[in-house]
Amino acid sequence: MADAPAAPAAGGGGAKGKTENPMTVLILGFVTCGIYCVYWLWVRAKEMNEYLGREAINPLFIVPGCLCSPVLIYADYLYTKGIPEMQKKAGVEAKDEFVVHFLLMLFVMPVGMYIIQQKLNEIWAK
Amino acid sequence: MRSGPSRTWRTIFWASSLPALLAASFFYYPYAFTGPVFCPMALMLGIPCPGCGFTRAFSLLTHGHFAEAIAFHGLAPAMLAYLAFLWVYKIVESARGTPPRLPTYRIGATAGLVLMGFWVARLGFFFAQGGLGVMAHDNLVSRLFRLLIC
Repeated sequence: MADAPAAPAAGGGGAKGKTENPMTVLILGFVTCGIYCVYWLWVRAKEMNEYLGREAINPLFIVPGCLCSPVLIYADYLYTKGIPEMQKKAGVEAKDEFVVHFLLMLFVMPVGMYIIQQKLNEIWAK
Repeated sequence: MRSGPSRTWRTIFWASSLPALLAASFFYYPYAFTGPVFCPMALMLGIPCPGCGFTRAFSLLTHGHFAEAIAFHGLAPAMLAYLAFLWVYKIVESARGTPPRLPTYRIGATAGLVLMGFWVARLGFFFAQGGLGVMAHDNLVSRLFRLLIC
């Protein structure tokens, strides 16, 4: 049986995720040389899927995404694509920053994570 | 309704992904052992990350050197099998329009735990074989020191 994400609440997104300090995410991402990024990607994928009520980020791709650059490009694309959809659902003003977020996630992942965590915190605060 | 490329194009894209990866690994073989190091952990701390050795192992696997590939990363054949599984998964998803019903979180978590467990064991072996000396020599501070002083 498939691991189904939590059903979305009426009138908005599903279960809200945990608010994290983006600076902690940034520092841990650099200090652990990316090991924390694997954990962060896993936890945020679960939260984003639960909030959207569908498997927007396939958890099967997280582990190889951390090791194999073509899969990483796909995984980063999924994370970056999921944010505007969540912002729309939460009623947060969304600017089209897909390219910037995607490139940051791809080349300086901890910085990309910092920005995505900021966006997520805004969504969780709504 | 999903936007973006048609189902046929998505299927073609995913069907060509693994052959493209294997072809890239095959043609990268001459440079696999002399190319630059991109791993931040190896560059900064001087220790291998969970994925260090996969590029060389995949290059060796595509040339049929299985024993050497396993010496570079013991999980290389398993990772290749996992990528093949993802390849089939995405082809089926693209062709049908819906993903196969699988316990994706459990499979993903198991893959992560196996990889991290293997990395911990590998680090234990690395330090048992004089890894501290390698780490002291290859970390970023030592590299910068040698670059500036020598």
